[in-house]
Amino acid sequence: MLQSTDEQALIADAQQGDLDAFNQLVIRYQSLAYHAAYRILSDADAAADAAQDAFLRAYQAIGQYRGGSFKSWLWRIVTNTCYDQLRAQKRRPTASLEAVLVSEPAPDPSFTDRAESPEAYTERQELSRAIQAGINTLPPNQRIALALCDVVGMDYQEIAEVTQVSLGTVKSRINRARTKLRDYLLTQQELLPAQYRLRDKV
Amino acid sequence: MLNFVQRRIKSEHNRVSAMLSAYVDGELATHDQRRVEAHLADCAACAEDLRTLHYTKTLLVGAPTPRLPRSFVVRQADLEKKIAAPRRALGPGSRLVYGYLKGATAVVAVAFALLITGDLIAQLGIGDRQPVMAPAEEVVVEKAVAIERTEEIPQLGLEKEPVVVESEVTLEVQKVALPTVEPSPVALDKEREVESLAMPEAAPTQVTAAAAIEGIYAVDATLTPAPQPTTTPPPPVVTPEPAPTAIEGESRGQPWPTIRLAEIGLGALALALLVVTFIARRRQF
Repeated sequence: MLQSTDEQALIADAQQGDLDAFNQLVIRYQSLAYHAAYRILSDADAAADAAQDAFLRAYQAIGQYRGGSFKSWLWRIVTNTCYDQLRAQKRRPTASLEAVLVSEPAPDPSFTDRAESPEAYTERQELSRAIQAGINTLPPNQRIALALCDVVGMDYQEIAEVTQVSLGTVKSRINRARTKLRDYLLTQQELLPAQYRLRDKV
Repeated sequence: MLNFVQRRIKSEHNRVSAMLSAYVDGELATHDQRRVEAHLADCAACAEDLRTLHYTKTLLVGAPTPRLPRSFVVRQADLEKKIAAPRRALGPGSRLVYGYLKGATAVVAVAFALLITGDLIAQLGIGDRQPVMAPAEEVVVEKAVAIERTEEIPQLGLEKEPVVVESEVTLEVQKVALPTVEPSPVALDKEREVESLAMPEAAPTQVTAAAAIEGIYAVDATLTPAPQPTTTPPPPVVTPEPAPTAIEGESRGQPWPTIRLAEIGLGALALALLVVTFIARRRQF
């Protein structure tokens, strides 16, 4: 993916130590970074910590960026930070369980359509929670691959660069992740709003 | 034959199933795309799989995005805090292992230092230490020779002067073990003081006066009574032959002593433990 000229200029300025230029890049990527981290970590606070930490690391390492896809470079930092958080969660299983039970996805105003009824809004929130519960059953590698594909919108080649595995591995991880998520939603139909249930579709 | 066909069909079914997500994402090469489509035309199960996988992707892509809790722009204060942040604490299990590593490193390093120091002290002969002498049997022989000479001299009517009985005494000198360290300065001084036991020159075996006085060589002397000393031969030329040191002994092809091997082994172990401890701390487990 070609970087826009202004993004290249911002990167060059950031490499010279211009913090404001770097923050312009942060503003462009922070929403997607937080969303992906949320889907991977399944916890709002952990996702916020991971996103903030990732951008801090990126600023400290901007001098090491030598061209190529800035998006891949940045997402590599984000996914590595998420890996670190997942390992930390694994070391503190009680804390992470509490986080899963207590936290709920906050409503996103940008997706709140003025024409959308409160019932529709509630149903979408239930859908989000059901999907997140299914994602929580996936191992970290599959979780990250699926998030990069369906949340961030990367193609398989980009995902392979970010996660530093082969294309075949990416295909395998995404297929297994999506199949498991599908099977989970099929067995937990009651978690899905009626209009979103899979079996009802013909 | 039927089994072969069934196995082939099942194998194709499994292969296509593994490609369905990539087909949904549009990531298949053209020939694989056609292969999947050809299979889907004949397999209702795969067709249903494709539908549900496609719908799952749609649900995930369209799921509500969590609201951004705050802006993640980098502030100077955050940078300074990150730089000044203390090292992440180790978990309890990691602390235990790290503690053992540090303890083992310290013990091995101290043992290595003590071994080196002790070896150096032994080699330099610090204090009034005598050089390491030959085994006990040779010490006994040395004393016996001294006594024998003392008795002989009065019988021959010789005065206690540096007199060498040359022609009357036939000595068979046998070299026994040489000292493994250089004689200390104190021992050398004693050599010069004792003159009455000076031995005659024995050219073929390079017997020196210093060596004779110290009793390094076992002497199997066959003495015949001497009538009268007729001449006073010149004093023997003292050419002290430096005793081989332990290092010289090693350079002559002898195997390394145990202590040297122990030093090398302990040193290598201490270094390895130090490196592992350093890496473990850096990685913070």
